[in-house]
Amino acid sequence: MADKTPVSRQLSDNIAHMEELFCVCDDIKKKQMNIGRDRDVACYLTFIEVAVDMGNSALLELLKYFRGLGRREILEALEQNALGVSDATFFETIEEAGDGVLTGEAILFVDGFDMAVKIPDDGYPNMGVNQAESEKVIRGSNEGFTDSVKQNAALIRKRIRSTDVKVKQLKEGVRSNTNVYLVYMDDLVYPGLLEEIERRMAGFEIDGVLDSGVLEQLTEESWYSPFPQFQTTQRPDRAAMSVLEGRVVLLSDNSPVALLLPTDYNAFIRTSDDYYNRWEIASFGRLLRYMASFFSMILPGLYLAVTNFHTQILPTTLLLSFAEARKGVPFPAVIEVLIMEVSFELLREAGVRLPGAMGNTIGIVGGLIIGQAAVEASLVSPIVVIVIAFTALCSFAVPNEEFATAFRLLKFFFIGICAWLGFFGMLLGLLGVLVHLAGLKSFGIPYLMPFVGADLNQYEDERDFLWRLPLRRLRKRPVYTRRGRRIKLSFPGKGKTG
Amino acid sequence: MFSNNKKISGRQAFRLLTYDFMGPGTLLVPTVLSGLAGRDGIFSIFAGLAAALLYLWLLGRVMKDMDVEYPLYLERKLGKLCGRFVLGGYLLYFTLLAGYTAYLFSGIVLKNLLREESFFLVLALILLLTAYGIRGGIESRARVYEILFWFLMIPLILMLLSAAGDVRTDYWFPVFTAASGNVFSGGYYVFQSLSLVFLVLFLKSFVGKRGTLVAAGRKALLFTGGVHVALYLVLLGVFGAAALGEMDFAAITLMSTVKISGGFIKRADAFMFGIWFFTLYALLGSTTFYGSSVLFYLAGGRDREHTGKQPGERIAAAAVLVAAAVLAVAFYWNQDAAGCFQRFLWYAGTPFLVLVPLVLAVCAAWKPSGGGGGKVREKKAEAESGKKLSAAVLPLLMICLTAGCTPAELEDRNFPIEIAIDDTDRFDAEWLNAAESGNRVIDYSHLKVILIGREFLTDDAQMQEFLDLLERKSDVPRNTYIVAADRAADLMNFSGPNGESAGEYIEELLENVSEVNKRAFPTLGMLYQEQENRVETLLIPYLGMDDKKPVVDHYFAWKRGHAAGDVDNAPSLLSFFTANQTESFTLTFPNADIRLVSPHNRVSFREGENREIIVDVRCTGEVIYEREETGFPDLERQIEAYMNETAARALIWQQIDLSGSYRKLGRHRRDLYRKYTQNPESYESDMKIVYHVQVKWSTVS
Repeated sequence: MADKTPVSRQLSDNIAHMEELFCVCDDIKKKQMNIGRDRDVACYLTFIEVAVDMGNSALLELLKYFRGLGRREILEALEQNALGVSDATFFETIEEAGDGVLTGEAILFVDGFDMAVKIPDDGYPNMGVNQAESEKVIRGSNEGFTDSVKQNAALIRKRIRSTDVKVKQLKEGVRSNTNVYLVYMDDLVYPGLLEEIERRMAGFEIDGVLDSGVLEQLTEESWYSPFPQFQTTQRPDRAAMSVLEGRVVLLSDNSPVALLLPTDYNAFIRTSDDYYNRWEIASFGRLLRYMASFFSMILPGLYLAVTNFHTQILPTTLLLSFAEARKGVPFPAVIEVLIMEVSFELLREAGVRLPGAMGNTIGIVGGLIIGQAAVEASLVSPIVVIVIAFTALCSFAVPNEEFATAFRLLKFFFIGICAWLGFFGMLLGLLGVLVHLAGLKSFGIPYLMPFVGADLNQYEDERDFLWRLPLRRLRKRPVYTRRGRRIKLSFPGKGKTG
Repeated sequence: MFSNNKKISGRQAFRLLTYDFMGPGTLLVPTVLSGLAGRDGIFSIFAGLAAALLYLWLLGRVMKDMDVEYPLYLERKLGKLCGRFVLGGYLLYFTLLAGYTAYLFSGIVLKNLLREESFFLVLALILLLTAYGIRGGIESRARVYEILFWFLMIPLILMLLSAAGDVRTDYWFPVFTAASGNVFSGGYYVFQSLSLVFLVLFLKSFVGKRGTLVAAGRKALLFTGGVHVALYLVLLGVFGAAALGEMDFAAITLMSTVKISGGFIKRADAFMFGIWFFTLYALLGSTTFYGSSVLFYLAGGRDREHTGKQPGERIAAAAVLVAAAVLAVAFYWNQDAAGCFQRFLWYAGTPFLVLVPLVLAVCAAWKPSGGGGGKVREKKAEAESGKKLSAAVLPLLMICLTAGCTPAELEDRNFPIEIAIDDTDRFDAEWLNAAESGNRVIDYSHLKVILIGREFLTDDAQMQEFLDLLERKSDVPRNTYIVAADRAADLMNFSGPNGESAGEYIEELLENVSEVNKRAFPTLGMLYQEQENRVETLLIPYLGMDDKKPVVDHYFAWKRGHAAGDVDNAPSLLSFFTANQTESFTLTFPNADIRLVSPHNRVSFREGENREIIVDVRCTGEVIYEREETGFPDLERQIEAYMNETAARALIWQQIDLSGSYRKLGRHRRDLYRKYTQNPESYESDMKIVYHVQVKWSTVS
């Protein structure tokens, strides 16, 4: 309060401060009015134009209510918080009132009253609840997060109607003052985790946080790693599932992407519908995705290692057809692979940037026409097109885009090292990646859980990793949950399996 | 929070230790054991394992009294000077072992994966990766091996299972023939490889309970012992004791020998090499990790917290790695140095490892502990930012990339499918020097058949030279078939009906058309082995042309490493049938044509003075065509007579034993084994073959 300006009883003082605060802000409406039965109470209303709906809002109701009251009654109603508006908030300082305006609410100053009143409204415009654009599932809700942090928190609450769900608000960005919510289950979250998150959030100062990705990069422990240490999701059901596992969901205003933490390799491979489908199908899909993550990184390199160094691995007929296919190609195999990989990455990038329908088209055009033309022009051999296409397919099968990107980047590293040192290079690279992953942690959780350190949770997490056991067998929450709170499924009176 | 406690679980300790034991152990133990104790090497493994378990018990006793980390405990128990002296011994051991492991590691990479590459480059890359690995501390290392364990053990087990089909159990016998001193020496060698279990002393501060650690050590010893036993039996059964004793890295050679069913992967040796890549890396990581810990401690780091980030710790790790690199180069330049290291381990290193805990146990029994207390120093070896390492590694990688391998592209190589050899000069000049390949690199990895001309095959000196030459040129596959012909070059021009080359046609002829099991046909690897073992009579298919196509005209006997002459089709097929290597055997008698199928035959020896080889034939019989009515007992007598006569003719006239009994001597008749090992030439002339036939008749048509 020391360096803040208190709201004055003199309306003119408050108007002067607000005008100074919001000078050259033409998008902000600043209205002086007289209200009350005798129109003798001067007041000052300020709000961002598009954020407040004047036609049908709490503000309009409040103004109508004041119309029937005298000056003394208006001041009494304000003193007693008897405005007939459920969520009116009182600010004691001009700065708080200014922040209130910026959150998209209307602020009312009344002459003779030494506080500003925040009257809730719709807030900033946003896109509303849409379908999630990534992490598509066959079964389960398709609702996606929006740009509004409040709506996102509500979407989680909608799924977990428990008073143990807590939402803690933080402000990030010295200038942007972005609202950040930490959503968690009070009785499940690991002790110390919230403090650690808050410590890391307090560990930097930045002028603006325009997306959760900024927070992710600034709070990661191993910032140089290509592997994300925060899981991202656009799906409220996924976020809710994480909250139920004792994890913390970090929501940032203006971002439809929530951060889930802590996380591990296995969490990136799991999808929501793994738990909605039967366990056999879910396990099969899980295994496929694990293989896909591996091959999306290794396949082009492996092709180079085998064809350039260790031809004895292949059956003779296959080898000879490879050699036949390469006849007439002017480039070494490594350049051929790089040409195709870079072309594929360009197509992908172009597909993402172009508007929807065109984006889809360019994928098909690129895949079919450019690929075929390149083969016919003997720029690349058909087998390389197959290898690159299969690699791309594998990378698409990894459910999390950020996670898949790590493999896509490492793929180029493997292409280089395998072209140089063959299978030895591949083993060196694999070991290097493994050592890196083994040292990686997300808020203290080993990244390779539960392949490693499964003893931390009495090997329970191994029921839900490469495969997923039947739901009846998944009776405990994963290691992220506070000890002693890990039972999530029981069958009262029905024995062990119900 | 969860994982920053510098503790590892029992399972992680088990897997770490198993990896440490498996690397050089599985590579070197079989060859050394076979050289020392031959078939009795299996008992050496049991003896070594028992000794290692006993040693672990001793270590467990020591750990009971150990309430601080091992280096500090040593100082407390033995006094500062003596304790530091012992720690110096450990440092020397770790550094030497790291150097030797690095040398071995680089050596097998060069031998098996990158023949043309520089030793120094491979060594540098391996050591850089080791440096990166140990930066993460014990937890990171434990996690790597925890995750890799079954990913590598399952392929190893599968590979051993697929090799089991090639095992000749006769090669396991006779046992109890080696001198007991040699068996004990073998046992000591096995113990030496398992004595790395002393690492539990260093692991104690990372694993919560002593009992957990001892159990992990015991499990690791038993698991590794089991792998040693299985691997030794498979290697012995595939290569034979004499050949195994001469091999460099028999386990890796095994992977290139095994023919994999299914056809997608032709040879898995490059893939399977991964097993040793990771196990050797594990040992290198362990030795440098503990070596640097000891060095850090000796350099005054004992009063400081182990964080893994302190400059002192980094310097210690770098010093150990540099020392390992220098030693590895010394071993590479001077093979005698590697021998010296082996002698060091034998006479000083291993006794030192045993003696220290023994003294500690005695001290603990006689003297009260040095007061306990002493705050357990928590080692912090947390993985942190890799920027400094990257800064060092990346420029090196850039330099290396510009100087690395430049393998020929696929289309710039020739893949010979068959080679024909009629005289050595031509062979040297034209094939191995690739004169016939024009402007292309010659790649022998897909060689299917070696055709050898008669003249060449019967010249012992030339064959010996030829086999030595090919064995040195290790990219020629060991599972290449060997066939003979009057003039090998004549067959080279043949092209199959679908455009296949002579080699492909002959391979398919042997594998698909012939009723003889493909494992029975001699391969290059078998010829190599016979140069050492000299126990088999191999029947090499002798090709001729029929209707302008190659056919197996008859066979050529290769007896105990020498040419032994032609063998007709009928006796050859009887030989394959006797060895259960063909599904059916057709006989024509004046009264009927019969087919014998599903043989379960057994070759044994009559006890006593009669030198008779007894062949018990048990099979199912079918009468294909009956010209006159004959009873089954009569047919059986005819079969028996035919077999006896055919075998006797080969034995007497050609000195060829169709039952292949020579290799079985050790299993059945130790007296004859001793005699004929000294004097193998007289074996065939002294023996007599007697067939006993029992046929279960199925149909009569």
